[in-house]
Amino acid sequence: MTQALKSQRRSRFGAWPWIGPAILMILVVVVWPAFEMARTSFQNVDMTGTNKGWAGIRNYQTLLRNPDLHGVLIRTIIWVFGVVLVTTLVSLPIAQLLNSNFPGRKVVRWATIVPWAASVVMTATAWKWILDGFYGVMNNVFIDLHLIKEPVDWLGTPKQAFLWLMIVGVFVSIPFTSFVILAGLSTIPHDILEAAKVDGASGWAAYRTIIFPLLRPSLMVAAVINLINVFNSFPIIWVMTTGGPGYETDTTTTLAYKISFRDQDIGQSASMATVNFLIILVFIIAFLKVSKWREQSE
Amino acid sequence: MKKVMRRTAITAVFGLIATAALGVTTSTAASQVELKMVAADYANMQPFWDDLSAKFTAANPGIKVSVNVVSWDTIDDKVKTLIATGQTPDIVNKGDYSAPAAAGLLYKASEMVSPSTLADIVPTFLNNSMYNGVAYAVPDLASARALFYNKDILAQAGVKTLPTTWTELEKVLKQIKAKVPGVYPYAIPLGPEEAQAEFAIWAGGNGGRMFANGKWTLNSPKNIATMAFLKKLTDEKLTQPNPAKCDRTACAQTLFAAGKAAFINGSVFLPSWLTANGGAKIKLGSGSFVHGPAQKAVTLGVQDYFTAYKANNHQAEITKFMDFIFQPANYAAFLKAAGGFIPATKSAGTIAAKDPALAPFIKLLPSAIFYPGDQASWPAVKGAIQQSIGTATISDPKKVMNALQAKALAAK
Amino acid sequence: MTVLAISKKKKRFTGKKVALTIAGWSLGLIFIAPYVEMVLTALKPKEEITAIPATYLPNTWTWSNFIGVWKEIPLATYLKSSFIISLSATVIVIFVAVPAAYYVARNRFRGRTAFLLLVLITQMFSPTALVVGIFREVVAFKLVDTYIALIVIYAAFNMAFSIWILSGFFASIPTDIEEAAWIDGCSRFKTLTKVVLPLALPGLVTAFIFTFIAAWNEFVIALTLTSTPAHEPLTVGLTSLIGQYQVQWNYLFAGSLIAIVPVVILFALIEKWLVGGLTAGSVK
Repeated sequence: MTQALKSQRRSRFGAWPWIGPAILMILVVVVWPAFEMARTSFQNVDMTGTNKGWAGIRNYQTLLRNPDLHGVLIRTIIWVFGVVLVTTLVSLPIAQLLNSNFPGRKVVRWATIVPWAASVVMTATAWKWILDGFYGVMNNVFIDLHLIKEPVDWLGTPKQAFLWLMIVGVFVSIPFTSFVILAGLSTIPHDILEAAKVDGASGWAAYRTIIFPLLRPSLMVAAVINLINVFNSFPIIWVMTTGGPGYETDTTTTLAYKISFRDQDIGQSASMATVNFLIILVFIIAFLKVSKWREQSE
Repeated sequence: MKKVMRRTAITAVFGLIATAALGVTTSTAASQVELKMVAADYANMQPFWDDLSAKFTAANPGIKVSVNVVSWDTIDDKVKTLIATGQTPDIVNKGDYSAPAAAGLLYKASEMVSPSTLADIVPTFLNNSMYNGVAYAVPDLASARALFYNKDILAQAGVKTLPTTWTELEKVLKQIKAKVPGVYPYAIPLGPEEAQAEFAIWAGGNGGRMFANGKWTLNSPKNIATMAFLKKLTDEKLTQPNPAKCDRTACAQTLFAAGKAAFINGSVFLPSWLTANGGAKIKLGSGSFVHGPAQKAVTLGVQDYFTAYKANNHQAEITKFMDFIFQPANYAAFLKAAGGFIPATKSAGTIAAKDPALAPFIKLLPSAIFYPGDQASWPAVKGAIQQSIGTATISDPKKVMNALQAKALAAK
Repeated sequence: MTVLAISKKKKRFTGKKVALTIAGWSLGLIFIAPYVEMVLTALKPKEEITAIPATYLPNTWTWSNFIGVWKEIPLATYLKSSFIISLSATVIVIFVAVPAAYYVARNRFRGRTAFLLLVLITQMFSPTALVVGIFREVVAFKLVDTYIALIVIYAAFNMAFSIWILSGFFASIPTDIEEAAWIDGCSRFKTLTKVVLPLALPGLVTAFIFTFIAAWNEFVIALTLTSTPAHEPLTVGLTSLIGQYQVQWNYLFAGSLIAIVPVVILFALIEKWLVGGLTAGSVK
């Protein structure tokens, strides 16, 4: 490191002026309420929202005794990994495509941002209407294409509905992921690509050995953010199936909501929310370890 | 140099934010009382409430009323959050009252309105606003349900008389299925939107109740039999597929409006809903609900409530505003804004009885059953029913009802 | 030889380009298909929206839905609120995240990993879980039903992503460029703004869009913290079209579609900076 940077590090206030504001905002807006949430999970809260005192681990015990929890946990894992994996795999070629030169590329880029720009509630509502068994357009299209004979209730059975939920999850995640990768692609200097061509590597080989490794930082960011957002995703499932029938399409996030606002059990819901946080924390740490984040960022 | 600049800039920004924050805390005049109200949104109610509170402040200078109109599916959360953070509102207009009543948070109905207003409330509705024998809420309006049918479909199927019992119903539905293809004989919505209403109607017709003799009776033999009957109808394809996923408005009523269902359990303003949603051409007939073997026909009454919270000690002002709402002209405007409901007062009721759309429902009210809204745990039980009762039609009714009963008993 | 060269130049429609064009346009169509369907639905009169079976095109083109929604609810006010809140939150994020990301990228200071993890952890909480605690704080600061509360909250919630992506971009810029600028006599501040930031522009643009969209579409916190139409953003305001027994679908769809327009316009304006950066050849 050069002298200039070294002197910066030895400055009197150190990192504080740089990262201080960020830390302050995060502490006030996120950390303190998170603390509150964890605290509530140990409280006895009645149906009106009034705190009735310490409850120990009773809320957690009730939660663990919830018969639907097991299925919900499994479904959550499938939901998170399925959606993020497919999104990442599909976004890579899409980013390449958006980076290539073809007529109308600008318009296609604008079209790609629409699912990101639209609120997820709106997108989920649109899909719900399209997939409706009675007046949805999807049935019309399939019947007109002679793929099916009778209207199908696409969100009718739990497994089929869950598949469609995952498809919509991928649909809303692709634009963001593609643009992060696209931003990453644009930082790859042309000289490196030129040099590769000169060396005789082209197409797939160039992609695999040169471009993809340079995309790692972007992919990491996109994957981590997607893992978190998909885990916390609420509107898609809620709007399209409300986690039903029963609890058959619920994830841990929608279940937490149901415990709070259907079962009116705020304490148990706070314990679910705390457990949710621990789950995603474990996911992310495991992911970062597996993808050797620390090595890579040194 | 840069370091100092940065620190100054950041301090300045935070200083600005702090000043803005402090600047917001303007103090109001000492003699001004502000009533905070949260009201459910029947149908774009904000203009009505804004207008009414302006009129009230003009007549009562010194009392300001701010009304926060919230949609039905978020009002429960909003009120709960307000209470949980010490921001308890003064008046709340929504669909239940028993939980805060049980927690001792509410004024009694007699403390909320003047005696003359209270005397004008229809006794049936006031009786359904009680907790432990004392009225803790003032009903705002009500609706009743009736059986509706598509006259054309019944004529096409050759059905001459309306079924009154379950056995007759099954026969008629099979007849319709055979004679009129492409139509679902009965649209039964057991999806989360209002499954508790659909259940209450069918169960009530079989003599079953959700709560009776001081305890929850969700898994009573009669109720299990009712769900078994509905499962039978579903299995025999006499209903639309998947009742558990069918919500009342988006699914059942929509099917009916498109002429794809013969029977439906509907509310007092189904006719106007149909006209506005593509069902104007449906020739509508109505009658009483079917009942189980050796039972009587019932109808379901649903009402909503005004509740007043003690937290801010504004009893005098609250009473003034509540009486203002119930002044005949204002109350009539309220009913008009909400659209098509049955009034909760006797005086407005006599006027409504002349309305041909409302008259038959008002006549049915004496035989109406209501939700066990006076039970503190009713909101939780309602939530559980909405969530899972539909699954009884695709799995084992006894297991589902037992699970619901367990949830009801566990709810505090 | 020359003939071949000329014919190669004229051959603009290579197989590869055609394939790319078809793929690109198909992709674009897939992404806007559900929204086109919404537009068509929003152009149907209320009675036709739930017709069975569904109609592809409206039988009656009801353009008045898009006009009526402005009168039915104070849509213009909601748009204004959303815009002020989202833009302010985004600006704050950029101003706070850039220094933090830059420092993290250039320095191996003692709490670095802890800081990055703290920042990441904050993104893991769903706002629904934190809303009660947040509301308590807002009440304590007497900021209920204000823009500033939402602005600060949204800025804090989106800090993590911006810091992560910006620090990645800053780290990928070789230090030689900065040192060259210092040697040439540029001040640290000028180097940051005139040399480093332009090279990290794609990252800045991505952070900007991410934060703006997140703030624009946020619902739960806005719902809890606002109570008058004057301060409600679009997401909350549109729910007033959802009555107890009647949903005004035609206006709801029209309003939701109108809500997408500002974001797409914003994106169209700054999209060109998403590509650029090091391709400008500034290394030389």
